[in-house]
Amino acid sequence: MSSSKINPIERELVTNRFRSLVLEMGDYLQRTSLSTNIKERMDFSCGMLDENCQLIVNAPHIPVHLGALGLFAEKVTEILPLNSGDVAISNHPAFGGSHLPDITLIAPVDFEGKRLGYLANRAHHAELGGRNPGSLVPDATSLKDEGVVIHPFKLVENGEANWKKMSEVLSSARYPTRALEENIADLRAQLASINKGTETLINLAKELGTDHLKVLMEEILRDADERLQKIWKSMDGKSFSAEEKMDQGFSIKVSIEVKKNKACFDFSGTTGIHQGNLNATPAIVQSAVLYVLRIMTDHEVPPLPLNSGLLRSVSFKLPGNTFLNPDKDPDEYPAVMGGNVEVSQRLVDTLIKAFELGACSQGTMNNFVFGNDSFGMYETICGGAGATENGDGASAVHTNMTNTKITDPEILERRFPVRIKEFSIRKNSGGKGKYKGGDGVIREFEFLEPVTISVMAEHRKEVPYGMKGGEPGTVGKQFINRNNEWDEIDGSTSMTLETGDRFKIETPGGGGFGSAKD
Amino acid sequence: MSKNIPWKIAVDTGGTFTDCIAQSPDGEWKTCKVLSSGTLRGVIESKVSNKSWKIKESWKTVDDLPVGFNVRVLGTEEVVAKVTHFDANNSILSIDAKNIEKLKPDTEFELDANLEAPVLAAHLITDTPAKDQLPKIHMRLATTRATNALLERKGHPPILFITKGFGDLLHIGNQTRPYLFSLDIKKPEPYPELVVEVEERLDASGNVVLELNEARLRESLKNIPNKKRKTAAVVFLHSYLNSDHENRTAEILKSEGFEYVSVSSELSPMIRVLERAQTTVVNAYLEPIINAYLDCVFEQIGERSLESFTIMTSAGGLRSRSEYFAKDSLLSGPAGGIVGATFSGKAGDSPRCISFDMGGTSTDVARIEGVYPYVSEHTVGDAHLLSPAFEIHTVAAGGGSICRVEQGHLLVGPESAGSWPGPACYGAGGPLSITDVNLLLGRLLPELFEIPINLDRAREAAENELAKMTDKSVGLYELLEGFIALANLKMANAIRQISVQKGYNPKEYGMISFGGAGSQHACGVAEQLGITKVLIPANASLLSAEGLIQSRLERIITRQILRPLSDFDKERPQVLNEMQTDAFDALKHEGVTENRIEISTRMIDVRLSGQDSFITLNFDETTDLELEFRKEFNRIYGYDAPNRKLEIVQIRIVSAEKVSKENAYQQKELPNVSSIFPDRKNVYSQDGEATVPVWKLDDIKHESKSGPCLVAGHKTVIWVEQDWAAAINESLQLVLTKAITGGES
Repeated sequence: MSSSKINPIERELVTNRFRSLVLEMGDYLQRTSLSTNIKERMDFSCGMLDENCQLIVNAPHIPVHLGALGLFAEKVTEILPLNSGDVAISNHPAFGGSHLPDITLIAPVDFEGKRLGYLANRAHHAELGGRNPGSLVPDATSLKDEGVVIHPFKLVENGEANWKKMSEVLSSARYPTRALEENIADLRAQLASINKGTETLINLAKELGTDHLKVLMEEILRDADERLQKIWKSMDGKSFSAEEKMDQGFSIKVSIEVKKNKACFDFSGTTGIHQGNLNATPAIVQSAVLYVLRIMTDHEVPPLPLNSGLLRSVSFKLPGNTFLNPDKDPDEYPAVMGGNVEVSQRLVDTLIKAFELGACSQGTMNNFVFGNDSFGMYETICGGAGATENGDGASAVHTNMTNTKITDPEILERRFPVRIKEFSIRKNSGGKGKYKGGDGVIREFEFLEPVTISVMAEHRKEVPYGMKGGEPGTVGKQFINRNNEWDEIDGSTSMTLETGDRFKIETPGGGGFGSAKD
Repeated sequence: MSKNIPWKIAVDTGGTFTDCIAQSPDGEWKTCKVLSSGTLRGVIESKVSNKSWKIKESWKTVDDLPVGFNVRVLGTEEVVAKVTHFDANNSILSIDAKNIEKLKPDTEFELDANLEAPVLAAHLITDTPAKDQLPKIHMRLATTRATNALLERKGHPPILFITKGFGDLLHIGNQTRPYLFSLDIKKPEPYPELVVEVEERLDASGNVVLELNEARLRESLKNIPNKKRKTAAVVFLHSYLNSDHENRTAEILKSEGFEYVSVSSELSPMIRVLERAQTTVVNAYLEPIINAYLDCVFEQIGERSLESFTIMTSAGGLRSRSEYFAKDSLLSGPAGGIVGATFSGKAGDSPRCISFDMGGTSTDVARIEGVYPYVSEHTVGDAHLLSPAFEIHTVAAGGGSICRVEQGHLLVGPESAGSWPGPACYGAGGPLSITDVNLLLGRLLPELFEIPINLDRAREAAENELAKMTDKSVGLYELLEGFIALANLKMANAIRQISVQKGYNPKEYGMISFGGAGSQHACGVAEQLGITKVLIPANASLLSAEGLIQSRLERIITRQILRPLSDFDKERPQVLNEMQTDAFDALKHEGVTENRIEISTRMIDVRLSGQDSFITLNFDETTDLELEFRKEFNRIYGYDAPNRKLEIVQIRIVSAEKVSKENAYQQKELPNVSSIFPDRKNVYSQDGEATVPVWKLDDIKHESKSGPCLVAGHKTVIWVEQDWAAAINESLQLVLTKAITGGES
């Protein structure tokens, strides 16, 4: 127990002011951004880091951004030292990125010649090039297939923004962006958000003193570390392990060992690099682990803060050359889109299984894209949640690493040549048990113009596991109807359909918990 | 007294208290406050005779008002007697003989006659004994009856009729989970008890793809027993473009015995079937409740006395009973507060103002730009409604918010001590709450409370929390200050959401503070936001009822356009004309003559094509919409709008009854301040302990006083912080101003 000089009441008030700072950055970003994805779906996060790139406060709206800004800051400042007045940009998975559409900006904040820390934000740009709209390219084999790759560079150098270079990068890729104007507007919003945060952070330093501010930042990390250590201590000597397989047979292996007040997450034994797009990145692995830590400790009051302090008592053994960490030269990086949306979900399933927190949820985002030369639409579709020891799993809901809204049927039909025939709960698709798994959904489209469709989904072959005697959930299926006959199609595929053809998807149910006989 | 002029009575029924403001036929203004349970409470003081007792009460009423009321010992069900006579001057209550041995000195008792609170308030304020006929009145009502039924899920579950294929729409919702970090996902349970899928279909232009299958509909009704045919909701896809199928279905349902049928295209003819369905189902769920309540008030007042009966909507306008939908009542109380705040801002020379209404469990804030802050959709509990309202942001911080220490961290709320057991100082075993903290810091006076206050209990509760602090260097007052600072941060953040986030700088606004707990926090919250002027209206504790008096009959006509500006501009005169005619007709239908109707607001929602969010502009026939949009875009976004086409989303037009200025409510004199308050008080702040003056309103009428000090007003005490000064303005509002210190400005 350390006897810090910091008054806990001051720490509390400063933590709240730091949180206000990043929330304010988020407000600025949301207000000044142009795209629906950022403005309405709030697919972004803002963070404040100390001078050592330790994440102090972070306001993520979706779990897949959890803690990732810390890793990004570390990797980018390593190769691109930043001076006051600089802002660096990148979306590269080799530098703490998750997938290409997530673009991150980071800027150092100095005051009176001393570095206070960094401010960063990450926002999902709905269109950023790639062979298909929305970066969903089920048959991609390299990162460049998926869109514009932005190697870390200084978007702003010494206060001077280089929009010319930015536009060039966005338009000169193998598959350039289809929405340059919107990208630039959203990047301006990201920059405005950083500038706003900088102003506030400098005011805080003026008020509290630079050195004192740094002491407070360290105190916030120390407190988070101390609280997580206490939790590990209560699990001292325990070990956990689990394995889950992707539909294509790729295996995620994890073993977790808790010793004294530390835990090591070891992913040895995980399958090698995926030739397609099912590759995760270290940032995604870290986000998945932080997410699971957060749900494991949700009963804690107040909740554990999601900062780098939590990573002091957690170590990773994440071997390279695996589909969780391709660890390739940045120029030869494999495709990662499926890693971000699908492997991330299955990774969480594996961790939940290891800690026996509950039965498996649908474990996929059921990515579905349809479009033609005149339009493109990407949606992710809900399914069943796994049951836990506390009760039945919820039906028709997004679980774990995503939580994005589905477009209203009337808006969808107004904007696109499509008719929704059915959107209903897939009854009895959840696994039986003392507590039942949640049911998936059935969603059926009729197309009013010829379209190309793409699906990318998991749990089509592997069943969502039950827990402690509960039965597994039902796997997902998808069908097309060309001549009044339904044909089942693969869970990872693209094809063209004609006017009047239909597509139907049945999403997986969650697993049950406990034996039904209990 | 001129017998022919009716009383004007405005009643705001809240969760615990019902506030009432009235204007007598002579033009005199009166106020009263009763319990929302419709009961009168008092305490037995001494026995006068076998059947009469001297009592303590604060009813301020005439002789014999409660004759015929049942007498109960507080907290029990048994009727121990009935009131036979009441001598108001001497507070002597006479009762008939029953179990009068239960009535001893110090017994708290309750009187009731099953009167709804607004009716009891009307009797009290008009000095009419309950058994007598009320004089003629114009009744205006705001009520939380439907809101409570919604939040407590005590409405009447409807049967939902919806397009085939979408029976699970409400269950699926927008597919998100409400809370990110739990495997035990709790989705809100839909309100309908049964869903019937109906064979019919329109396309996205409103054309019929599949005719309504009436035979099949009638067939499915056979499974619904008569006793379940009470309230129904009808929601078909794209019905906002073509209501034929919905209307026909409603006809069939009514002919088949349904008492209430809520039709989505009538309630909110707007795109987005999920939200339209939620709106319709909530209306169907609450319609039987609000109707029963209004019927009851109507009958108890009596048709002979009711000159008019209008009800407040969530958008701050009155509607007559027959035109009133349940879905419009959910924010009627807070909307009254916003109307009151808007008038207060104008009267206090701060037309652009932030209303700050800090109550027991939560704080409501709104940004007022000299005109009402209209929005076209709003959320109440887990229901999202496509229905006009005021933009009001609520945060779970109030006087009752629980303050505690967990793992070395300070927490304020969101849980509240509620009215039972209440804050620790009520002595009923309640937890430390913001009210206790203010009392202990000396910013609240125990004399203010109508119940005895136990400061020792508050101190014990605070010391218990202090003991949980692992760092022993922290002092009690430092901890209490910390709780206040955290609560202020929370409330300031709520105000940032409605100002900074939308591109408005709170520094440019005045603050209107009202509600039970606002007076202790107004300076602190204003300080966080750089606000330098706070107005506290004379009727701060009844501002919602005051707003009700100031509000008027209004109608909002909304038309969805969803077309490019270039197309729309050609038709603008015609569309506006049609909408204005509709807006006039709606009020004429309520009996207002044409020369007394005006169009008060014209709003148009414009966006860049392809964007979801829009900018609302006030406009008329000649406004250059392109120019105004680009100006506003630049202000909000900080850069010029991309050169894309503009789309018109919708137009909203508000028609209102003209009100003559003479009739407007005006505060004529400073309210009475009780003489029980001390002259000085010990308070604690960052600067340590100090003894500060407690001014009465009259003391500062001609001379402003600087903080730190307390100002005792009518049923409220205002904490004036260091560097702030308190004065009274011409509108008899208390004005708190932050002194501009030298150096930076």
